[in-house]
Amino acid sequence: MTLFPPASAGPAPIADASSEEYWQGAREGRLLAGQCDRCDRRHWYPRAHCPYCYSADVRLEPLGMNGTIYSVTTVRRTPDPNFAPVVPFSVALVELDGVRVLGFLDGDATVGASVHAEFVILDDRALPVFRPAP
Amino acid sequence: MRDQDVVIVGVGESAFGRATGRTSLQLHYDAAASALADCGLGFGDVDGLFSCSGTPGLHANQLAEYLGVQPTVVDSTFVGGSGWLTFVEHACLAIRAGRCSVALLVYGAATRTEQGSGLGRTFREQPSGPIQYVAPMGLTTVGAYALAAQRHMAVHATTPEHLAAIAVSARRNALRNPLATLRDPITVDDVLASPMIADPLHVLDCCLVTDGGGAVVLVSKERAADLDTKPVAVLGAGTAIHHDSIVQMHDLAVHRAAEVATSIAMQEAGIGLSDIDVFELYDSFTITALLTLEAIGLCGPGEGGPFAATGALAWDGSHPMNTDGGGLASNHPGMRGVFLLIEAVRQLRGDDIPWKLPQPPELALCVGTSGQLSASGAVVLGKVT
Repeated sequence: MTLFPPASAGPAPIADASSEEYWQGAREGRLLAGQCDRCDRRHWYPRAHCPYCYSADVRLEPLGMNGTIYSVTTVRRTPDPNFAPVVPFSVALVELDGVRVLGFLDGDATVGASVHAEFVILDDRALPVFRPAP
Repeated sequence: MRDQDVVIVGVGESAFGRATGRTSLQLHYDAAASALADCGLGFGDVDGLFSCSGTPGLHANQLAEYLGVQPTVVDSTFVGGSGWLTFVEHACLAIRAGRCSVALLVYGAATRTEQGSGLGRTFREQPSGPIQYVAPMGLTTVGAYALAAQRHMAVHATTPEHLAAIAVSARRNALRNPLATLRDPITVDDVLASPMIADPLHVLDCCLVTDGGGAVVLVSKERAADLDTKPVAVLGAGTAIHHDSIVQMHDLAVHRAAEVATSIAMQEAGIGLSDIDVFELYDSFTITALLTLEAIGLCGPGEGGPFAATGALAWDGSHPMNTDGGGLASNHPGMRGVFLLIEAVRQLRGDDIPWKLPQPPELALCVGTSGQLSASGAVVLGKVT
């Protein structure tokens, strides 16, 4: 059981080169991850280098939008004023295309469940929200 | 076994509890004064200062100034609650290298007085760097550990009852400790009936939020010979960082940082786990202690819960853990590592305390956990033989 979405995305981030492209992609409905052109591995969150082979030969690539819940919790109490009014809400760590992404979970789903990624717009920011696959 | 060349000669605590009305720096002073008095040394003897804090500013400089000491060896490594275990490792290196003779490890936080009972980051600041990708989801500190607990429960047969058994055991230990903050007996049902904070962690699966300070004094074996105190030897110490955010933890059911740090410490000590008599394992949450039991190798993967449910971890069990009541029942001012050391030292010395173990332990293992299962420090302590 979750109330959704939260009231606010909290203070706006201070953008950097990787994050500006990431948030822009999200606004356009694409969930981006770092893609290394040397070792071919992906990473999330995006960085200016590959955390596996340390190459700087990285770019952002869209992930597929279907994934599996790696873990999930429902937050029922929080000291965060942005979220206190909307508890309980669920947050899931979801595996998509070999990386794990943190997002909201809208609906009931447990570890191992198939979910589909979408975006919810909060304060001009597009945040990943997972919904149980039909 | 390792040469017993560096020893802990003094331990001490400030007053602790719900709210002391003291400032963080006052609590540092209170704890340090108590630990120095414990071994007959004074602030003027301190030439190595080991302390960190989440408060703004240059903590080591502020602390030295406030206490009135001018150390020439300083370490303010800020990895979180396990930092004081790491400080033991670093203090040993400094003492063995002859760079300092009296190392003061100190902690103090007026967490309850200054922040109230709320745990976790409040995201009032504009997030920059990696935090911006996770902050908007509102995941709390408890929520991060809850993700690990859910994963452990999904991968293994771990149940909320297993987690609760760790809280019950800690409380059972706290019943003997008049200084512990929570001293009412609890049952597994009490834990499960307590309010859920982040599924599957109930409020009684979470550590306390208290004020408090603690301190430990280390010197060389030679220096200790001049002091009227019962020294405890540092036999091994290790540190490991694995990640910062729980999102980046490779396997949420495996506390890899604790695994690595403990293995380094045990290898240095040259002893096996079956030699350890008492375990002081960081219990920010019940899942933290459960994962640590498996990380140190006392339990196999997935066996931590059933083991805890046997009652083995209580003071009168086969493997006493967190004999003062731990962070779940005694105190938890935010970064609790130093209290693991203090409790182990008291038990190894056989101090005349009401919660003294009936079988005097010879060897203790302390394992701290920081952040979101991010970093660990492990220390093996032993009676001087």
